[in-house]
This record gives sequence, C-alpha cells and structure tokens, in this order.
Amino acid sequence: MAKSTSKRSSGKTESPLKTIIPDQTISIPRKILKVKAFTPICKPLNGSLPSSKISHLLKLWTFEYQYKNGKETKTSTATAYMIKGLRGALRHQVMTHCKERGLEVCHTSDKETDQKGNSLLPEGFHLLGSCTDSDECIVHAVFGSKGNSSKIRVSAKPIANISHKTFQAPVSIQNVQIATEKRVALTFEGKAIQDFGERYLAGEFEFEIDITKCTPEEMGMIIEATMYMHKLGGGYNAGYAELQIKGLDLVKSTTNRQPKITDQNSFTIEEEIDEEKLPEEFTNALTAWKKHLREYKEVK
Amino acid sequence: MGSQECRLVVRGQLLTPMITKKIKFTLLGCKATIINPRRRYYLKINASKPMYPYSYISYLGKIEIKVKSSSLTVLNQKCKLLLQKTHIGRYQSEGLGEIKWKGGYIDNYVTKSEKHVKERKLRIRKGLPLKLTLEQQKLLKYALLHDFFHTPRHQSKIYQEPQIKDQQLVEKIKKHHEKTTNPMIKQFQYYDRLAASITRKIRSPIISRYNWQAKKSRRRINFTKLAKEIQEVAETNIWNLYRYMYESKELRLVNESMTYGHTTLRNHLLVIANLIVQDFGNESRQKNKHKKSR
Repeated sequence: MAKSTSKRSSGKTESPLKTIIPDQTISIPRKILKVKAFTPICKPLNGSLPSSKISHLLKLWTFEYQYKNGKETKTSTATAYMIKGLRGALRHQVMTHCKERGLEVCHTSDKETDQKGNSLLPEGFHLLGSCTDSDECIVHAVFGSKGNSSKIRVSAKPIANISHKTFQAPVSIQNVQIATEKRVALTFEGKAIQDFGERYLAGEFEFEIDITKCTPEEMGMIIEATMYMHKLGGGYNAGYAELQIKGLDLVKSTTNRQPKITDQNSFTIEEEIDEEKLPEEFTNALTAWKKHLREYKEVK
Repeated sequence: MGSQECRLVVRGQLLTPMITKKIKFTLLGCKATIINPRRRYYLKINASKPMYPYSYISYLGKIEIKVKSSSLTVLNQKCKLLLQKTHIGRYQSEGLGEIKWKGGYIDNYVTKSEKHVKERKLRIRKGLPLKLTLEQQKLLKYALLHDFFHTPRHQSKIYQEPQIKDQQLVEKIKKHHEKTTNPMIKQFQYYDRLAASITRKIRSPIISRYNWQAKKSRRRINFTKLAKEIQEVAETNIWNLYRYMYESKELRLVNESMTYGHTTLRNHLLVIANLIVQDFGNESRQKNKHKKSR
C-alpha cells in the first residue's frame, strides 16, 4: 500500500471548498403516507440475547435527554428501540386484501411444497416471482422479490420509554410504554421451573410508508390495505399483536439539505423538512384502485 | 515529489442499523468507514417458510466517507450524489441504513510518486524452469526430500526412508531442524518456515498421517512402494522429482503436520520449491535492471 501524508491546508490560499460544495440546496421530494396507529400490546421482537431469558426489541442506542423539574432542568438517560416487521405486516395485509377482492397475487414464498410434500401455497395465490413481466401482479410490482427491488419503504421513528412528560431529546423519538412480560412455561408444586420474558410496546405511534415510486392504483391499494391493518408482531393467537389504525395522511415531504461553510476548510449540513398535505391525490388514488379492480374483473 | 490531491471528507450518523459484514466498504466508489461501530444482529423471519430465522450483522455509529481527486468538479459531483442519499445498505425498504448527514471538511492529500508495485501471487508451477544453477538444484532437491527422512523431531512423513546414494545430502537433511552455520540449511529453514506460515492456517490436531481426503476416499497408500519410487526419481534429476511430486496422488492424502490437519505434504513441498524459484527469478530480474541502468 502506498503511504500517504495528510495536512490541513494553510489559511492564506483561497479555499477550493466553495467550488466543491454545491451552491443550491439539495432537495429530495417524497410522497409519504403517514399512519397513526395504536396498540394495546404488541411484540415485534428481534430474538433473545445469549445468556438471557428475555426476547428483546431491536435496541438502537442509549441517549441523554433533558426534562424540567419545577424550575430546574435535569438530565436522564433512555434507550431507543426500533419497531420491526412493519413492512411484512403491510405485505400480508395487502395480500389478504387483494385475495378478498378477487385478485390473484404473489405469495410470500417461491416454494410450492415442503420436504414432506405438504403444500405451502394457499388458494388464490401464485408462487413468488412466477408472474412474468408482461402480466406482473400488483403485489409483485410494489413489494418485489429476489432480484426485483421493492418500490416502497416502510419505517418508523425510534421508540423509547420516557416517564417525564417535559422531555427534550436530541433525536426525534416516539414515546411509548415499553416493558417486559414474564411468562412461565413449566411449573412444579406451584413454583416456576422454566420461565421466560418478552418485551412489548404499548401506546400510540406513527409509521411512514414512502410511496414516491408507486403508480396511482398501487398507492390506492396500499392506502386501502393499511386502513384494515390489524396485526403486528408475534402472538396473535394468544391475544397479542393487535393494531388499531387511527388515521392516514398522504403528505408531500421535501427534505432540503443545505451545506454551509463554517470554517475555511470545513462545512456543516443543515436539514429541513417541508410537508404539504395531498388530499386530492389521496382520493384520486383510491378511485384509480377501484377502477383497476373493475378492469381486472372485466378481463377475467 | 508526489502529486497533490484534494480530499473531501463527509460525515454522517447512522440512525438505524446498516447491514454490512465489514466496517470498511465502498459507497458510490468512495471509501467509507463506520467510526465507533456498535454491532447489532438483525433477525429476519420468513413466516411463509418453515425455516429458522436468519440473522444479519449490522452496525450503528458515525460514518465517514473519503473522496480524493485532483479535479474539483469530480468532488462536487460526488458531494451532490452523497447528499442525495437517505438510506444505504441492504433492506432499505424496511427502514434499515437510514443516514443523517452532519458535515465535513477538505484537506490536501499528498501521495508519494513512488508507485507501489504489486508483488505477484505465489503460483504453483507445473514444472521447474529450465535454467537452474547447480546450487539452486541442490537446494531444491534438499527442499523436496527433507520430509522423507527420520530426524530427532519426527519420523519420515511417509514412514519409510528412500535409499538415496548421496549420503552427504541425507546427513544434511537429518539436521534440518537444528541450529547450524551451513548456509544452505539456513536458507532452506527460512523457506520451510515461510511455507509453513502460508499453508498452516486452521489448527486442527489429528491422530494419523492420513488426512480428511484419504478418509473420504478410503484409500490406503503403499508407503514402501512410494519410498522406492521417490528414490528412483530423485536419482534422475530435479525436474523429474518436482514433476513427480506435482502429479503424485499419494502425497495429496498425507498430512504435513499433525497439529494442522488440513495441510497436505504435497502442497507444503511444492510451496517451498516455488518460493525458492520465485526468489531466484526476482533476483535475476533485479540484476538485469541494474545492468540496464548502468
């Protein structure tokens, strides 16, 4: 490897930073469907750590926040977690939604049977990626498969459990209830022999679906399916994983990134997000989706 | 004097874990590193298939991207492309690899004019080169036969000793583990250790000289016959001896070391021979260069 030496350039000469850094602001326009949801108890877990009985949520980081205690401002720490499985939950909802409306769409798997010969493909679906490019189903077009990238992006801001109402965090987070539920698998003479724990979240939160690349009928399908979303995480049969959708908003959000020169050789990037509601496009998307359904039935 | 290039460093923060196996990677043709990496395991369950969850290694932390170029327009274009990125890495559709750009700086980057010449990788030859001096031939013969005789350290690695007429060579071979002043043995020891460091990678102790390939094929070697064949070939010339080692199927089934169960004796011998030949080649090339410059 060639050895290299680096030195900060002296301040006397004219800095080339002005020509390197773009003059105009870099704006990234996106269409985002904002979904407000509520869950009484939900477990989108990421598995258990070694030497631990508890299954955890995906931990991101611990951070310091400030809160007001009377006239004083105090600091405390909290941990941020990520909500997993939102895209998967949406995909399953879209699949069932399409099936109920008579559309044949891609299943999640590309396997027809398992090793024992049991069928893995339910009725009303075809194998993942089996629909050709000319006759591509709407679910494959939106969610993609192996080798075909997805059109949408589903994400939520990190969540944390902060008891102080007047908190100010350095990064935007969502405050929800996060706790551990202890469960017993086996008892002997009234005492627990085998026990385990599971982390859960409860409360109101918001997640975003980036639908910039979608066509109007695809947007309509996603909007209609998210209205009926009712599952997130594991343990649905035991009464967990309940999701209630409170509201939907289609928003045009543009992130503006402006690099600003602070020193002769260094710069910072300032980021601003402008949001604008799109109520007309919301209704247009739903009508386009209904039209698509009608045309599909006529062809069939 | 070296050429001077301008280097742009852009810094950011990973808000959600990014799936990568390594901390250093390339992004849009630029060198990227994750500073203060915090490892996370992202588990993914495929609900439709009866299979175990798959875990991906992902990292959180600060990210630093370095671009160096002599033209400022190239740096400007790269800067624009980088700032347009919102997510990086795999599974962006699930919100992974979200990035927030913070800032950066520029500095002058001086590269030395001396170009680094990449050394050629060691290539196992089919046969030895035609031009070899007598000294080289002796050293190669010593190297190719050194493991077939009993020494205070170990027995012959094929259990039998080939009956070679040159007794002086045999005596020298038996001393190949000892500290000596003999220049040939010293030279050989250097190549032997170098070859061992190349081939001995995974430590796996074994009981017998037969390796995993032999166990798989369930083949047994006639060691007396093998020793006789080596003896016959060794008395002809070095080129034949090398070719015999190269084509020998028996030597592939024998282990070189008892503590490293995945190193074959054939491979070890051929690596030593090729290291010797490569070094001779380099020396001759350097000498030719000096002659031309004069």
